[in-house]
Amino acid sequence: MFIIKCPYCGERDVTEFSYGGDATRAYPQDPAQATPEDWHAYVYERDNPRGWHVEWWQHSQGCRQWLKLRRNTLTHELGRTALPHEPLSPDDDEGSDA
Amino acid sequence: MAEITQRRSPLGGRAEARDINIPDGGTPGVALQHRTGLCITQAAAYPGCDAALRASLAEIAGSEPDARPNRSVAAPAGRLIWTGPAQYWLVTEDPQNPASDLAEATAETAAITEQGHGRVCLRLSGRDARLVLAKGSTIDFHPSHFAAGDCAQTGLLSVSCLIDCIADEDSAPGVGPVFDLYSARSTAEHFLEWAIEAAAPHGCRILTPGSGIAAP
Repeated sequence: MFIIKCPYCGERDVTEFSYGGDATRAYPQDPAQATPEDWHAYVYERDNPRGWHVEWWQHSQGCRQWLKLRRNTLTHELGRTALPHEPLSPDDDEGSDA
Repeated sequence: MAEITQRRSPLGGRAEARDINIPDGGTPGVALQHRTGLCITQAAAYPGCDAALRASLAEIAGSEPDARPNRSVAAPAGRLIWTGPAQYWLVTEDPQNPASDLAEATAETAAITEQGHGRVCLRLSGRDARLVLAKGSTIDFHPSHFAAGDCAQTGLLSVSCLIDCIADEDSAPGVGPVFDLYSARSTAEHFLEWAIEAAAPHGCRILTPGSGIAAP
């Protein structure tokens, strides 16, 4: 059980959110030129990191907005949250503000 | 044959007036009322059109909505409630349904959707109203944190719910805080049963369904 800081609503219980998967995968820059291998990698290939990771979450019972969350998969420690268009990396070392 | 359109409550008569656990000569801790006859109009601005939408809402409702997250405003026409970035609800009472006027005014700036048919509103008020809400949600309902003009979309006992604080201990002395709770029509019965069960230990007076401020 943990508390996620929604960029709009502030701190809310995790039960209000829905997990949306890996947020580190980048959509092919030129979809028309992307190969089946590119699409396969984008859609299916996922790492299983032990440590800091960036994930999609949706505040589904709140403002229904999608957000990125930096989370440590080993310790459940939470880092910064960001809006979808804002950059956020697993290596972001700005510290926890959740 | 003429068509007859009639509103039918999803609560099916379960919110009729009665007292629950109120001792003789005692006062109820909370009051519950099913608010009927509401028009709920959702307005979602197209990208970059938030200011234009708020101006249109000000024209229709008489006040501009608060653009800050989780804030609501009492307008002459009804309540203006933030429901998401650049997205608002306008809640009014029959028969002044503003949806068509708003759709006309915001044809180029926003998507207008009527939500009244799909939502149920319970008004919870009284001295113990905050204690009742705290039984179902993890939000902090202390008066210093959730006062008149604050609203939140959250889960009440896992049922998605929008909570709008329309009055608090300071603005309605003697009445206690007043909250409007909006839930989906499909979960309305469960929602009402939870509210009654949570309110019963405090002494609950269920008021006749209708509109207006309910006070125990």
